[in-house]
Amino acid sequence: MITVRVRTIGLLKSLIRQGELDFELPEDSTVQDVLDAMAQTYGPQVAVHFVEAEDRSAHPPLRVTVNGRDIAVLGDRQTVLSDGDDILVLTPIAGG
Amino acid sequence: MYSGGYTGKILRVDLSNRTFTEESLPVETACDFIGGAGFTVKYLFDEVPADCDPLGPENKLIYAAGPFTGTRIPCASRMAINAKSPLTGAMGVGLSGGHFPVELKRAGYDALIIEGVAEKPTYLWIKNGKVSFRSADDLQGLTSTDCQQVIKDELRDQNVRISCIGPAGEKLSRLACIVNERRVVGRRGLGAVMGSKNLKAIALRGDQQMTIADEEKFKAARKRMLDAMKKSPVLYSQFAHEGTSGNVDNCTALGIFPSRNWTTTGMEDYAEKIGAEAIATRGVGRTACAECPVACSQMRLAQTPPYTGIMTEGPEYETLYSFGGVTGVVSPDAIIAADRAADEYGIDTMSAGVTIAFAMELFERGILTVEDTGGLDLSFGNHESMVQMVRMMGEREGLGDVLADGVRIAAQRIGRGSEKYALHVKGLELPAYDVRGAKAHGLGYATSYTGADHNKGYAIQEIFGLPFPYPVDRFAVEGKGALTMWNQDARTAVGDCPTMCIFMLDTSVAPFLFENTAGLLAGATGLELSPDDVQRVGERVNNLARAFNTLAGLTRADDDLPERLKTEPIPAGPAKGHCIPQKDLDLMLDEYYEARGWTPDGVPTRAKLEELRLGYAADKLGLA
Repeated sequence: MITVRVRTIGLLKSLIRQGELDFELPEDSTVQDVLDAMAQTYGPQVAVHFVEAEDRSAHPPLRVTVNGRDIAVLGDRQTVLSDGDDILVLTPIAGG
Repeated sequence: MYSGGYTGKILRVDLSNRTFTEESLPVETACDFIGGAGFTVKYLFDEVPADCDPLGPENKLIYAAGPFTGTRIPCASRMAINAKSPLTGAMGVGLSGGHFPVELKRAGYDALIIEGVAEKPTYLWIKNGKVSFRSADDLQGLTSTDCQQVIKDELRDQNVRISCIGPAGEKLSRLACIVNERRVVGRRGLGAVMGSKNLKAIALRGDQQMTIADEEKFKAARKRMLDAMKKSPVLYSQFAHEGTSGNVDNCTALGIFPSRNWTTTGMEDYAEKIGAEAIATRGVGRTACAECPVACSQMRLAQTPPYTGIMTEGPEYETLYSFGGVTGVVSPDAIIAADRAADEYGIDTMSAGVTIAFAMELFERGILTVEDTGGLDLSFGNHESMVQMVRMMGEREGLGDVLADGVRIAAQRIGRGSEKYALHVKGLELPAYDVRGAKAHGLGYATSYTGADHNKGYAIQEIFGLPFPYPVDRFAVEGKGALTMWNQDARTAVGDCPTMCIFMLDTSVAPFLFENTAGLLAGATGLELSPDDVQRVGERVNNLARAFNTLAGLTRADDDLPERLKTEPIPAGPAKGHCIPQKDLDLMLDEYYEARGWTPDGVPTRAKLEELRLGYAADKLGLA
């Protein structure tokens, strides 16, 4: 088994009521497995934010990073996780 | 030829001779530069000697709105102001929203060029083609709010729109900003240029309506943009209610919210203390720029002593950094108070906060003592001292006088090894992203024609994870040159020139940004630019500004980052261990210049300039 740390901010944090969560998962688990585990634990109000956009050219509805890197430059949701990974899951943010 | 959008006229005001003239807007200028920042860069390049004293009579202050300003296109009520910057010695372009830009168009002008120096303190009253030079004797020393109110009372018109400076501009602080009602062109000391011209304010009133070139195309393009805004997963659902404060949470989560003069980034949880939820507890309402359905600007009220009852429009993300994280202050009410004080004195919140953070580090290191500070404990996190220093800088009082021209000059004045704690690029204090953990954003700081400017080449891929034009690894060094060029040209072409709110790029139109601008241009103005042409406008403006800066004496050596960012890794958090060593910066600069078609020394080539219809710039540079 591996343990990964999941962090959320903003909307997801307010839905989950926690900014940091630890998940125990089997070896070779992926980002998708983490999202599935979160959806199962926290229900449809959270799961709805994990639905992949039909239009891949539109503004993405979810950002996920693993150890600071966007999964888009890793293996997308099939990115394989390692013990101790830091996963950031957030709905879009804007404005600086 | 354009047949809508533009008024077609430029107003030129000579303060020395108290005269004014109207000129036509050439169609070539409209096609090649679109408006806003593009117009101001073009006119400044053509008319201001690059080696002039920024606070001398040769410098000019140039305002320009965009072709959509004053039309029903949403989120384009913005304008650019430009002059040679007294803080950086480079092009000083800044933008602001509000209602003044629309009034400039309604008064009949796409741009306003102010020349010379008034003999006595003056304000301009511009109404439907008439310009009056009025005495500003009674406005001397007034804060920005009071100044605007006195002018409205004097003109007996409470709906006049005003652009003005506060006491800091009058005192020629190189951090002085220009205040347009409550919106601000903050950076690079353009308020000092206005002050150097003995110009306290510009008051506007007009009733001209913008014509639309092609109603059908206009409606279709406008609808496409409004639909994209509605579909945005962030614009109305979150951004409208939080404004930019959510970025404190975002950048804290990414480990790049700078802390304590960039010494403790990643070590403290600022999101909890001054992030979106914390600052929202001070919210008392929202307000909008003209023709904006979003209303992202938040009104906030301080609730605890000694700041109880102080209200401000803001603080925006950058100010939550400058009067928050970078000074180590975690009191939302102190940040609100400092934000309001800076706006009233007319001093840039960002540069002021970073300069105070610089002084705080010197204090903690014993380079400055209580004798230097006038008894103030300037330790990091001391919110009362932080607010007091804003006032002292605005008044040029005590240590405030030493700091009122920014970190580069302050370090020269203080000496004693303080230079290495002065965080700036080309004299402009660093914005709110610890770019050791976002390398393209850092290359943007190093190469922006305005100094360390987050808005000229914002790396939306690294900060927001947007995959346009493609996703990137924010920690990677290779590949950031071409990306930074894209970021700079895109933001210039679809934001700064058409004066479209850049938050539209971040939230809504990124998937079709050049098409969006091209479609709106065709509808509003009748100008048929392809999406590639629009992108080319961004490239043209960045090249022309670079040519001006080269003439002003800036070189590759000025495309630099502070030593701390090159030698001290981020100490903790998700970006722990990252920095930008000189070799990485050199690699990125080489890539960037190559992408730009410049020489390895960062000088635009004749071939590139001629390709962009800027042969006259090559001539001025003396290029073979």
